[in-house]
Amino acid sequence: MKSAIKELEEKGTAAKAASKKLAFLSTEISFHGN
Amino acid sequence: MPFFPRKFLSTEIKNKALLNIAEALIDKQDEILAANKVDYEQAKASGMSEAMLDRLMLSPSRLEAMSQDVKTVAALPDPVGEVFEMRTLANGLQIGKKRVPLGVIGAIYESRPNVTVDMSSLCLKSGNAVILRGGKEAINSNTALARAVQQSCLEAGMPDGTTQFIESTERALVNHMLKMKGIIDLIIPRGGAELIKLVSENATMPMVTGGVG
Repeated sequence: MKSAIKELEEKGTAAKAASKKLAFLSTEISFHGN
Repeated sequence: MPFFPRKFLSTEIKNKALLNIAEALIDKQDEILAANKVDYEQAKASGMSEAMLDRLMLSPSRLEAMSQDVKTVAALPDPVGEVFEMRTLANGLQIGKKRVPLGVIGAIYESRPNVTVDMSSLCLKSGNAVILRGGKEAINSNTALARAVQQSCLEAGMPDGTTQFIESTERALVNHMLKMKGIIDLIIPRGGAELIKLVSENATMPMVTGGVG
C-alpha cells in the first residue's frame, strides 16, 4: 500500500505541475508591435 | 499600434493530440486488444457477470467507435478562453465571464476501458491535467490505452505529464485519492451506485457526476 500511495502522490504532483503549465500556455498574451 | 493576441498552447496542438489518439487507437489495436483479452479471460475466470464482461470487452469495432468519439471531441470548439455573458455597466465598464482550465481532474472509474480515452480526451480539450484511476478488472487494457494517449500527446507537442495513469489497483487508494484536495481540483466518478456513493461521501474536493453507469 505504501508504494501505491507513493505512486499516487508522485503522479498527483506531476499532474499539478503539468496543469499549471497548461494554464500558463493557455493564457492569451498580447504582443504589441508596429 | 496593432497587437497580436496569441496563446502558446494553441487549439491546433490540442486537436493534433486528439487526432493522434484517434489514429493510435486504430494503429495500436493489436496491442490494445491483446491486453484486453488478458483482462477479459481473468475476469471470466473470476466469475464476472455477462453484463460486466460486455462492458470490459473491446473489439475492432469498439475501438473504431472510440476513435470516432475522439475525432468528435477534436471537432468541438475550444472552450478555453471563450468569453460569454458580456455586458456593459452604466458607467461604460464592460464585464463578462471567461472559460479557463480547472487544473487537475481526478477520474475514478470501474471496468469500462473506454473511460480512459473519454476522460483523457475531454480533459485535453479543456486544458486540464488528469489523473486516471480505473478498475483492477481492466488494468491491462487501461495501461495500453493510457500509454497510447500519453505518447500521442507528447508527439503533438503537449507538455509532459498532463495525463497520469495510476497503475496500482489497491482498492484503498481510492480513499486516499479522495483526500488529495490541493492536488486534485475536481473529482469525477464513472461507475455504479456504490462508487458514486463512496465518492460523494468522502471526496474533499468538488465532484461532478452524470449519474450511475
